Amino acid sequence: MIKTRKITMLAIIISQALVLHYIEGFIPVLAPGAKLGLANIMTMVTLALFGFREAMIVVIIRSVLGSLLGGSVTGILYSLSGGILSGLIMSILYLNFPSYFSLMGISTAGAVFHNIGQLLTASWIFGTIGILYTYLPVLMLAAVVTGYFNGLVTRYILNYLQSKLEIKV
Amino acid sequence: MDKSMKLKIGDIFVYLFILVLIGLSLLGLKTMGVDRSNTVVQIQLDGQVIDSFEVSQDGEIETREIRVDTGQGGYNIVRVTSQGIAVIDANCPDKLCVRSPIIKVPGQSIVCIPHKFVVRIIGENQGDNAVDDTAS
Repeated sequence: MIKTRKITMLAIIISQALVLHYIEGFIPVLAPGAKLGLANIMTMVTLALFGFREAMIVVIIRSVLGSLLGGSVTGILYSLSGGILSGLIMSILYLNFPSYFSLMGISTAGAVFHNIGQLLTASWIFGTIGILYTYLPVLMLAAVVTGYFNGLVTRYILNYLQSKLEIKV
Repeated sequence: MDKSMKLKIGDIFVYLFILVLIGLSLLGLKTMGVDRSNTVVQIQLDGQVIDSFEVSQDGEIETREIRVDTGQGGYNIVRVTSQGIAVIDANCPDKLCVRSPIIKVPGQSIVCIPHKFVVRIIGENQGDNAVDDTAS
């Protein structure tokens, strides 16, 4: 892909991820800390279209800017730790084992490790590992549902891009 | 239906991993109890911490009384209950510590100046927002 086109695509993807990150704050969820993780869709799209480096760039910029939109500075820490860990795991699964994992499975794994990253950071900040096992069960159940949904959406987006824009995925 | 819409063999490992994590967390909950923010009661005498113990914030607490000898015949008696902590008796001249209201939230304290005696509750007062809700 031409460099200018790549930069433009990444900019569009980051802005879309930011919007998703922002609006999901208005969608109520059952458990405290549980999120839909819609921005994860854009991470996976980047991973499929470009690769590891670009996906991590999207994650980091989205986390920092998204936390600034949300208004909380400690949010950056949680967002970054969850985002980077889940981005790493999803990259490993997607790039090294594409024939073994579906996008739904990869997205679920990403959601799981996003929660683990955040909870480890919270445990570190509050100085108690208790936070980890108190919040984990319900967040894991949420991750199964949201992970499957996000993976499916990513699949549809990639199929669409493949057929309409003739982008090879 | 498109083949790529279906789950693949490796996805089973993701779900197994989740089950294992849930199992481990429940084990952790069972053995170590629900995480209540670390609330510690500290008793100080003349600036030195002479006693400190943890209390749970929302569970029932066994009522107990602690007698603290402050030297030269002085004493303060602290009562710990589920409702909070109070000084119920002392032989200091002004008895301000006895008249102090019950304390229960981290940051509060009862002071007895004549005996250089302080009871305070310390710990992070974290609620359900331990995981920041803007983080995602």
